[in-house]
Amino acid sequence: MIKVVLEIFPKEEVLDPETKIVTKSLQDLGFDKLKEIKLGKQILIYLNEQDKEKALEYSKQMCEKLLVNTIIQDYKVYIDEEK
Amino acid sequence: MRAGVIVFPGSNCDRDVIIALKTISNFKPKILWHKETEIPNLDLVVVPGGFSFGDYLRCGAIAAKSPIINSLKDHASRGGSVLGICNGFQILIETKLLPGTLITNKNLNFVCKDISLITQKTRPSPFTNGLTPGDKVNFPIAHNDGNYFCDDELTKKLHNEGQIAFKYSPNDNPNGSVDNIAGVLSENGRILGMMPHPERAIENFHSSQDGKLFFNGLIKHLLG
Repeated sequence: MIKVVLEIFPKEEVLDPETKIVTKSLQDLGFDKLKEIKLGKQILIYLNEQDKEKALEYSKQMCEKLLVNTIIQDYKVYIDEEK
Repeated sequence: MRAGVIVFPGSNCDRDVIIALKTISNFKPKILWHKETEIPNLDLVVVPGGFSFGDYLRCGAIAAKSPIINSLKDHASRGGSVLGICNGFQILIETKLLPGTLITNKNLNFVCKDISLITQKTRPSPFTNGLTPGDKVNFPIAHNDGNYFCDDELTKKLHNEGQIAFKYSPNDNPNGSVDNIAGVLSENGRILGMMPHPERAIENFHSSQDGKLFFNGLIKHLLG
């Protein structure tokens, strides 16, 4: 079995109000070194597959077909070696 | 008139649409469960509002992969009319039957109120048949993710091709939509997605009856 990690983040050019509000809230708490935070989503994908390349390709298909809205979101997939 | 209303788990405006269509046209729409794989020959299919599949993943994303969606695409490619309201608009976006995308409201609030819309000059469309460009209509809105987003190129194209059906007033944009866009048409004008709810502006006990104008024009076109 292979564990693939999928990370999804809003694209830079897309206004993400949630990120803005959480950043401001932290700054209001006194964290004045904070420039900004990025809020995203992590999805763990467990595959019955041995080949790492195939596992990544398979996961990318899931992203393009359902998991990611590529108009407004960027994503990356990588293998979690620790399992 | 032959109309159908698709019902997903979590749809909650399906009955309002059914009642609105029946009240105005005297024809009872067919109820289409999302697991059905064939849409009979219909003039109009409505994708109603609600919270299909609990808005999981992204609003409309799971519904857009339902078995009925392939036949909805067939219906659209046959030239059939499709109306997506609120969550229905989100679903049509996720199916890529309509361009652009809908993101979380700019102010992060769920907005629920009556709002004034300005009818736009569009390409020929059954959905703007009963309305005159510049007319103001009042429909309720109730959504969390109605912030229409697209790049400048697409915004320009939507304008040039007459694909914007409704806009919010510039000083009363409730969700941050690009260019105050509230409703978008497909390239052939036969598919409309809109965040406001015309089906909730029909009866005397509703706060507005402007939905009658909208549905009267639509039904007249479909029957004509």
